[in-house]
Amino acid sequence: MTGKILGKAIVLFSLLISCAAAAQGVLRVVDEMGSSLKTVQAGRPFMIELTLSDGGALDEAPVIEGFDPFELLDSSWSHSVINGEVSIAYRYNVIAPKPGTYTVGPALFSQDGSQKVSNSLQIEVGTEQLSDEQEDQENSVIVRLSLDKDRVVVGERIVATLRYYYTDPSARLRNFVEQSTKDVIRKKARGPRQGSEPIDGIEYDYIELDWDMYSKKAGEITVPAFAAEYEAKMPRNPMFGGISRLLGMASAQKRAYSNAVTVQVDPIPPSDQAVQGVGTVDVFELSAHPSIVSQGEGAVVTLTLKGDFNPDKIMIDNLQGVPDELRYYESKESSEEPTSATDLATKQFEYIVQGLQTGNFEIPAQQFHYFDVNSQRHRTITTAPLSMTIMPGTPKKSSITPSNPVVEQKRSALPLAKGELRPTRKPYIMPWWLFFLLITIPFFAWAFRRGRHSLYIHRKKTYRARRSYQAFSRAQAQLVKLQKNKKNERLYALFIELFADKWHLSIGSITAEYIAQRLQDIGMPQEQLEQWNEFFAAIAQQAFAAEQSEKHTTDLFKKAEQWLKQLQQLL
Amino acid sequence: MVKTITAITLILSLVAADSLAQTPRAIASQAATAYQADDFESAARLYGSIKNKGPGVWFNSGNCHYELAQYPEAIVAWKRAQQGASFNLLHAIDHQMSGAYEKAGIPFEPSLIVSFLDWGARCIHPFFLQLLFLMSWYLLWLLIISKRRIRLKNIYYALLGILIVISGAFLLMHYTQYLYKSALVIKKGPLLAGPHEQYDVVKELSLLQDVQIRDERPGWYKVATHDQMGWVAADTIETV
Repeated sequence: MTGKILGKAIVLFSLLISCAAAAQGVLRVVDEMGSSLKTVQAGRPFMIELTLSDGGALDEAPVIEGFDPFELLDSSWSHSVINGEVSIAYRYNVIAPKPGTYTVGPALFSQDGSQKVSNSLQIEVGTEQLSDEQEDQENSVIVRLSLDKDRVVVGERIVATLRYYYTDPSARLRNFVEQSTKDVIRKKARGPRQGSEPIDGIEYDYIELDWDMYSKKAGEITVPAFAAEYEAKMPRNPMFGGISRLLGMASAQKRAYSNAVTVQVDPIPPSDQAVQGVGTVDVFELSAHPSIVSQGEGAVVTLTLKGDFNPDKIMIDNLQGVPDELRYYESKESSEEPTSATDLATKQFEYIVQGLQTGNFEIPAQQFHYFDVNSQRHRTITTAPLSMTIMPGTPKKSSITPSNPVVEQKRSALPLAKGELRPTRKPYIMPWWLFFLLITIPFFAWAFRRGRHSLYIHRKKTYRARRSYQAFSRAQAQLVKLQKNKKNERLYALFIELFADKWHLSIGSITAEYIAQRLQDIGMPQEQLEQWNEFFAAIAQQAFAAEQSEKHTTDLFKKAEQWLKQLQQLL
Repeated sequence: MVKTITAITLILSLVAADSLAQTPRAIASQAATAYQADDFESAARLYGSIKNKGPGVWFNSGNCHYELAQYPEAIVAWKRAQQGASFNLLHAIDHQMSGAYEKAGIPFEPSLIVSFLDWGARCIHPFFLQLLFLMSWYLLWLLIISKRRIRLKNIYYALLGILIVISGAFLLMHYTQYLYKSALVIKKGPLLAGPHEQYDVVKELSLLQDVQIRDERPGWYKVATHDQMGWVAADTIETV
């Protein structure tokens, strides 16, 4: 019973609230998810939402008072219907650049010709991280922004450090998102570096960036919060059972915000002289290279400053008190930014100095007037004077070309060429095809030698083969001739030549024993071999006998003819 | 008769007109006077009007551009002056060119090898280089094929090898110039993959970068840098 009464009371209260809202627009501060916020953080985006419960269209865009201090990122609108009631929500995504208390509203809008107003809001903007997000509990991620100083003067160096702390290595940092600040000059970031540090008894790893900043104007300056975008692993939906394990962990892009920081910037105290820089100066020196030059030649004179300052804001116009016998020109300026938070900056001004007359001259000590941030007072420092010796020599143009003449003296123009006005004849050059041909001649000569040798070898081989091939036909032709001339003593030589040609051997190496052995090796029957030996002995006898027997001549020629035929078949 | 008189009159008037036209020496003299009076614009215009410019004219034209703080134009003119210039003029050009690069804000630090090759190719007569190369080449060949014992043969090998490499490198510079025209980038612009703005950018060309022209299309040049090849708009480069 009590529950029913309580339920009815809640419904009645809700109806009353919605009726009140329908009467006019409602302004409120919400986060990205639409939840109401009590306080917001400088540099961190939040939304100002104007809800119109009476869903009619507006005649023109609503005007919200007190909106100017905020930086508008984007805007959107949406409408919804609940129980037939149409409501429209205008959302403005904004950033508060500085901490403080801001009054926003009322919003003025015109609906169906009638002017309406919304409520007003008090927005508290702080620098600390929102309590519920000081640490992303789920992923154990913290982002912290810190400055090395909380009070500086205009132009003094401030080192800002941004650290992304994490305990779970899977929470991988993607990038830092920075809100612009117009009140400071921000230099290029150094890093990233890695390290670890305990926070509240938990050991955190961190990724760190640092950079130099120089305030442009006096007052309280807020460095807005930075966002760190990181990839966080998310467990997969268990409804897929074991399959989700196969897929591994899902990842989601998340964003964590740092704190914002404020720094008090004081103006530089007034000074009688022009302030040429702000910071500390450890080195201020004047040097020349070379310090002894010939008349008319240039030497590079360098003013070097090293210290803790913004090198882009160091101002030195020209060399002071340069004697009339010397002429100088501005050459170039160079800067070296500090490579770490503890490193010093370097600034160099180069001048080209030419000697107009010979002798020893002195460039007097140079002064630099700056505001020293350590002692908090103005200081003037000086270099040692610089001696230069100008030697006699043919006046000539400096090898170092001057630029931007500071001293108003007429510079002599570059000397003109007197001759060579006509185009010169192109120098003779051997035609490139001929040149390359001549280069290749040794290769041709080498190829010719090689070719000739190969040809000789080839010919030698083919001659022997031809002799071997034609051995029997030549022997038969010769036999006919010998028979005709009745020169049976030449039969021995005929057969020796035949075997020499056939076996590719020299004539001297052919003997009766060798022939018999070879014929036996190639399978001549023993009986036939004996006949051959008899025949060969007979023709040898004829060849070496003192007198020739006429009787045996015809018989020998017949046998010789038969043996040629048999050997041809056998060989 | 009338025709003959007309023809003679016409020829005489042409001859007279030609003799009245200013000679290059006279224009150069006027230009030098303007230059001495610090009227560099007039001097540059006068030097520019000389046809068939010699190294001296290009050199002086470069000086005018230099004085007018037109450093890319000055460097282009001096590069043109290098061709066929005497040793003294080459020395003066080298001397002034580094200053112009510095003025244009471009680092002028050619490597020692490139400077040496450039010097050799410009200062040594190419025909002499060809003869030197061929002589060394043949001697080396004879040394290789010779079966006689020669004292200090390895030293001869080394000396001839060095001569061949050095003269060959100088000749390679000449041969490259013979094959491809050289040009300078006078306007920063992109090196594109094809002869149209819609093609991908291969790289950004830096001012006064040396390039070689490999091909030509209306309004476009195909060029090779030391590491890339691509197309540039015709007004981006100037041949030297």
